[in-house]
Amino acid sequence: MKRHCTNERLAVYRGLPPAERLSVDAHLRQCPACTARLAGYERVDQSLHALPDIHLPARLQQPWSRQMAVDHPATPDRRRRNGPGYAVGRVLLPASLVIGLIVGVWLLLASLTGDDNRVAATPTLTLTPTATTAALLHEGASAVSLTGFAPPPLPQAAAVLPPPRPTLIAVYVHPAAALRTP
Amino acid sequence: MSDKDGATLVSELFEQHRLAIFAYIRRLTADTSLAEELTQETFLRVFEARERLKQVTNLRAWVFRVATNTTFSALRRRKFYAWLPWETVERTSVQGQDVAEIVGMEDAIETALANLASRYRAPLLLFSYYGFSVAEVAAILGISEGAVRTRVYRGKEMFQKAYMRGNPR
Repeated sequence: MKRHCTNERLAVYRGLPPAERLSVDAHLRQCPACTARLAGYERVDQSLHALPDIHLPARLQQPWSRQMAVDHPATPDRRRRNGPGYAVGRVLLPASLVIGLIVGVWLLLASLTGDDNRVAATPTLTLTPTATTAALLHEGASAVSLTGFAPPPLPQAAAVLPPPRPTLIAVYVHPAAALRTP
Repeated sequence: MSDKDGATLVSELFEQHRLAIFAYIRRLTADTSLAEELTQETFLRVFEARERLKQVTNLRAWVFRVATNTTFSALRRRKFYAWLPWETVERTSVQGQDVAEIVGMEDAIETALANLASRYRAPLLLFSYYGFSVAEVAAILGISEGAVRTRVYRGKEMFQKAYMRGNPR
C-alpha cells in the first residue's frame, strides 16, 4: 500500500478485518507518519482504560429478584396501562371533555341570546281535543300545524313552544331586474 | 422458552452485566442517580422481552443496545441536552496546567470524555473501552459500520484535544 492509511482505518485498527489489517500492517512498516498516528489513537484507548472505577450503588447490588419485588415503580404503571380500567379511562376522558365543551358552548349561546328565550318566559299552551287553530293562535302560538296530529286526540298534554322571534329577511334585487317593467 | 427460564436468564444477565451497564450509562450521562434509574429501566426492558431472549445470539451486545436506547430516550424525554454536571463544566472551563494538578489524571480523562458529544462518546466507549467489534457497535447503535469508523476516529481526535487541554504534560 503506497497511499497513507485513512484516519478511520487507523482509529479502529484493532477491529479491522484480517485482510484489511494485513495491508495496513504492510504500509505501517514503511510509513512513520501513519505509525505515529496509530500510536496516538492507541494512547486514547489506553487512557480510556485508565478511567476511574465505578462502583455499584447499594440498590443495584441486590439480586434481580429483590429489584423486581421492591425497586421498580415502572412495572405497576405499565400493568395498569394494559388493564381494562385504563382502556375505559382512555375513552371516557375525551368523551367527557367533548360533552363538557358542548354544554359550555350551549350555555354561552343561551346567555348571549337574551331574556326572551328563557324557559320561564315561554308561553305554555294547553292542547285539548277541542282546541282549534284559531284558539291556539289567539293564545300566542305563532303558527299551528296539524300535520301528523291525528286522532285519537291526546287526553291532556302540555307543549312548550318557543316565543316568536323576529326574523330579518334580506332580499337582494338586481338593479337590472328592478328596472324591468312588467 | 418458559417464563421461568426467561426470568432466570434475565437474573443471570443482571448479575453478569449490571456493573458494566451502570458504568456505561454513568459515563454517557455523567449523572450517578440517573444512571442508577436507567440501569433498572434497562433490565426491566430486558425482563419484558424475556420471551425473545432465546433468539438473541449476542446477549451482551443486545443488553448494551437496550441500555443505549433507554439512555438516549430518557435524555431526549428529559430534554437533558446539557450532558455535563455543573462541576465538570466549571472544571473544563478552566484551561492550563493547573487543571491536571487539581483534578488528577483520572479526572482529566473523565472530563475529556464528558466533553464529547453523545454521538461520539457512545461509539468510542463501546469500541475502545468495552471492546466491542465495529460490527457489534454498529448493531448496538443502529448505524452503519462506516459510520462507526468515522465516529470512533472523530471521537478519538476530540478526546485527544480535550485531554491535552486538561492534562498538557
